[in-house]
Amino acid sequence: MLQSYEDLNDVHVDALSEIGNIGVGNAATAFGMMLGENINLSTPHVSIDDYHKVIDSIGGMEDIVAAVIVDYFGDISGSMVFAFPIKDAQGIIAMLMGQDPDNTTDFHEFGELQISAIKEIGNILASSYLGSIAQMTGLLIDISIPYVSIDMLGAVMASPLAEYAATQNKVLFIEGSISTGSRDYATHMIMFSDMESLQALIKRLGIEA
Amino acid sequence: MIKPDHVIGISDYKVSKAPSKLVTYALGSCVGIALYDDLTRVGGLAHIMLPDSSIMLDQKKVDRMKFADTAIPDLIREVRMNGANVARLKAKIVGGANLFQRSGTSSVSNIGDRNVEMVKNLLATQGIELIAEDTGKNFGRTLYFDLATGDVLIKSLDKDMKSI
Repeated sequence: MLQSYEDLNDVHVDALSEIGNIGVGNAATAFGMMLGENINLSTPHVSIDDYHKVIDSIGGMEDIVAAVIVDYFGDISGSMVFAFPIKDAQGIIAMLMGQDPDNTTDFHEFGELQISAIKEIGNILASSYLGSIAQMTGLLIDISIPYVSIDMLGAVMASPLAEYAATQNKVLFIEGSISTGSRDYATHMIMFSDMESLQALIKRLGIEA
Repeated sequence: MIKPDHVIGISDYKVSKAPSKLVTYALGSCVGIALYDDLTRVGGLAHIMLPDSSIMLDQKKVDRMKFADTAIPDLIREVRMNGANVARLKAKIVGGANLFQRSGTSSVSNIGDRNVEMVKNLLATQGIELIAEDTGKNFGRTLYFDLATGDVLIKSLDKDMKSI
């Protein structure tokens, strides 16, 4: 029986990566429909790592990020957290809004439109990944509205860590990128879930330890 | 800007003395606790993530620096071992924000408030006077602690530096 993220082995990580691949396909379709042009999402890289290391690989504690949280609930529950380094966030928003990628809107000038665009990115990525989990497992999963914060990386990570990394220090980290034309932007996603949900997911995938 | 010589990470603490300068970056819902004895100029800084270690079923596995109820007694013991007089210790606390302003039933939505409340209770229990705080609201804070003076400087995104 799985007791913590540290118990996840290569087979589990491979399965979660495969879910990621399907999720990315769903997300690319969703973005394509929204934008009417081709968006490429890279094959995601899934790893189980100490949260300190995950924060370091996204950026420095004080680096400004646009972060989105989408909570999920139903048969399994937890939170998907996305942290976009602010330059990438500005680029992705320009892409979504059909702006010149060399002339992005600085985050200080963000209005409701830009904030909605960030929320929509989080919403699409979360529902695509969770949708592929639901497709593969038959689990019923519902998601919350997206919540946004633009602040220092360490500060935005604190509350989901407090909720889900209280009793252990590992998290499920999913790295990828989103590109259009010659532009490439990093997507960093952390899937937080409680242990019962992780156990249920692994069991449904038929790869119980 | 003071140049720090010790960086305290999430779930960590450090004790030192003048002229040391300590920093902990990007407190969100976490709370930074600065303790200072202004006579010996010995002090310590902790960055806690959660209020209460009793959620750990296996107490032997508790990461003591992660929780207020274990980190604060440890921090006090260590400043004392480094020459501070506990009766003279004064505290300043920073952080405990709620960045995403999430609604709903999740207990995480008020984790910042719970951290601040627990830290205040523990300091009161230990007889340590809280002389200043900058807590709550919806933004992150970096805390600089100058052990030469006991000053705490707070840096936030797009805000003026604040001294408490």
